[in-house]
Amino acid sequence: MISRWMLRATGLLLLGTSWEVFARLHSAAYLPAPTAVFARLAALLADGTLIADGKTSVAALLEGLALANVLAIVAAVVCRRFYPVWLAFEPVVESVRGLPPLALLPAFLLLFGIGLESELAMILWVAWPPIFVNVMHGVKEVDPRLVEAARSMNASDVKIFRDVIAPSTIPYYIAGLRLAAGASLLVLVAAEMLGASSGIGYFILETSQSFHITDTYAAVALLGVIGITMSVVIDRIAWLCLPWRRVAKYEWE
Amino acid sequence: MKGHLTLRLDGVAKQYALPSGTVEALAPCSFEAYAGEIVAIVGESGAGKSTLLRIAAGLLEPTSGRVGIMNALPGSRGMVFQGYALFPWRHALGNVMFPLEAAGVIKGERVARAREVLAWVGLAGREYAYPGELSGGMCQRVAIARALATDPTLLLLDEPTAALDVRNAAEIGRLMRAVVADGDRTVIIATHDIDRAVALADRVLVLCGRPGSIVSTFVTENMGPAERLADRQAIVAIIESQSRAATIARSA
Amino acid sequence: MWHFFSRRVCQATQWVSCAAIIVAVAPATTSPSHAQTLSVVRYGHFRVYDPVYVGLAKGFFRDAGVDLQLTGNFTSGPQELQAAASGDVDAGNVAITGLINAVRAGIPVTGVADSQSEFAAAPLMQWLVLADSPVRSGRELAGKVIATNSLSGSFYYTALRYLRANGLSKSDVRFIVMPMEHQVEALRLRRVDVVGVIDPYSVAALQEGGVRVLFRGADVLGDRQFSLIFFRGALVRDRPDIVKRMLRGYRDSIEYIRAHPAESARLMSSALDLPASVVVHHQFTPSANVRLSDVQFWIDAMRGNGDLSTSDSLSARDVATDVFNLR
Repeated sequence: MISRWMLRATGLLLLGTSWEVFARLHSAAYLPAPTAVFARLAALLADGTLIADGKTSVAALLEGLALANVLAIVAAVVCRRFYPVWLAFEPVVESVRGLPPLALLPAFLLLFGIGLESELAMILWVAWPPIFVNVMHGVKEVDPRLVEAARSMNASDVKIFRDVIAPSTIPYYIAGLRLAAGASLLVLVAAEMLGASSGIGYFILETSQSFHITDTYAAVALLGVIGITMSVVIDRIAWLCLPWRRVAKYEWE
Repeated sequence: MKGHLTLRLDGVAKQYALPSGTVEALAPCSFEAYAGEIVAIVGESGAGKSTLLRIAAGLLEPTSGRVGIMNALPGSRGMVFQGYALFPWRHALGNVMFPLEAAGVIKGERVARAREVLAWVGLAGREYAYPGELSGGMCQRVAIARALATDPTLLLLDEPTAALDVRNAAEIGRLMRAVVADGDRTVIIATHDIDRAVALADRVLVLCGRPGSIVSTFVTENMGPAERLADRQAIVAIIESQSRAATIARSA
Repeated sequence: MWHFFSRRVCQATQWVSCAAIIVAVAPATTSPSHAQTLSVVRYGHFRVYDPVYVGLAKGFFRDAGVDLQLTGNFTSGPQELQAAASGDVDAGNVAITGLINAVRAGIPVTGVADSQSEFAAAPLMQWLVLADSPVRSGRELAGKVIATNSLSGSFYYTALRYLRANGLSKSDVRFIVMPMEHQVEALRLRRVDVVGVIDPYSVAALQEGGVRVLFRGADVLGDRQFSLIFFRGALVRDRPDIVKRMLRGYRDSIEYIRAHPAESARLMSSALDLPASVVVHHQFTPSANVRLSDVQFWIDAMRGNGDLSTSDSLSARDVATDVFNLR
């Protein structure tokens, strides 16, 4: 009996095995085998080297995402409520969205200073749009019949917002959160490579420049672990917030 | 057996101002509804049944005319929408509690009342099922329970049996009879199902034309099956002749 | 009859042979830069002051029998080493410390000639602060932010040496890695306290004003070689003739610069797309020779900082060679 987890593991195992075989065959200095990489990762975590950098990166990530969430949700609610605000705001959002964030990194460094401030600014820059756009879309897509039903039951505007619009928007918000999380991790690592003094990105830069290649890959593997963890956490949030989606449609004959 | 007057619509009409011009959705309509009776509004799609119902429910302001309601307190009118309009993120109990929350009822009482109403519509044991887990008939009963939660004197239903099979539709009909059984409540149903309207209602208002107006009223209270059948055929004939006249007028 | 034919055959053979000899010799007599005698050397393109630009413009490499091709677009020496490791470049220039790290990691590269050296009379590495900065000496660097282009290059180790000489360690300051092109701006915006830059950035910053020199590489190192031209190990081992020829063109370029500074400055500024006013000619070791003692100096510096394990038996000859030095 093949379980779902076994199937999931198969893909990763295949990838890992091919990589291991290739690395051993070629024994290139710049492509260590996964067994070497994970062994090194374990060692770097055990002696605390990567723990401090990992904590710095994760803390910046969570702080940036939290800020982006708050600002994006508030902005979306205000724009949906006050249409003229949205009309004024929309062209700015659309033009800013298309700018490649990494190209703006040097400008951010100079504007916000070296370190956490510019990292948070970069994360805000990439995390804010997907959450904002998705929440806006979600609010727009609320079934008007549900709002009408709520009004027919004499629900106040606040109650309609809290108990009809907000729950209806949650699935859209979670989709935006997934996008925001992925983009944030990417941009954080890049920001840490350029003008930081700690963090996983900084560690990758330091070790790659000094040709400690296995260490570089170990840090990259840690990033992968962080990325997977974020995805799992968001899945869990979705599972908790969307209980009605856990049940299957009942079929009556 | 008719009781006191619960609702009076006096020449209510509805127009919408669109960029292309003014659209008349409903021509001036007048009727009265009394406690203890089921009134059905029948007509073709687009005749304005839903519009008339919404005006009666207080969800739409008429462009002209007046709506007189005997009990204007909040929660005195309950509406069941086409497609149920249940909140998918709330289980059955949560849906039924919604109007009680809006009315400020304290938690313990809300839960008790919601359970009571759900049991009344035959859904005891399904309080924690989400609409996604329930069949169409069950969803409709949750919607009815939700509309009844605040003990309204006027219950309005928009196409309550449209998506249901014969068995479930009949069950809804039985529920409606039970609602008016104590003589204190009025039920108004908008439907295109003439058979069910004639079988169930005490009065059938025929809404015809574009814009729709009440062209005929059939009193079916206390009638036997044969008479109801005759009324049904008459109603169909009216609707069809109106439809032909409209088609001729449009092509002229 | 046979005599008639044999004589005709002989004549024809002679004509054909003459023609063949002419065809074979003709290209060799026009110039040695014909395709059949030119060896291709892919040289990592890293836009810093480099005599190769003058050499390419004046044809010195072709004259030496080398088709030097600027390859790629690199922003650091370690990047060039990575490209050499993957076989995408044959040669380039890199800080000796970067070369040491690469060799330690098993990358087959070798330093063969001087690329950058610090001289008291011609300092290259400059550490700048704002003109109104309270930092007047190394002792006042405690708690300050120092921008450096990398954590494995000459600037970093030189700065560490300076700190040590002033009683500070690296944990007393904060190093930020930042490309040189952004450092001066960061300094002016007071995002960092000290920047370590080389020309043209140092020259441009001092010309613009508002900054002053805190210390120079020469103040800490004396006269010290800190960057080398490197080649892939395979070429050094199997085709030293190509290395020699490339270095001949390179040395000719350095000589030309010395003899024609103005013209060379123009050629350099054109190649680097910079105003000629910020081009400052570098000084090189005699004949641009490798100084193995300086290579050892850097190995010891890295070992002292804990970046090379003390058990590592790496020596200067593992990193560079003086085989191509001119006496």
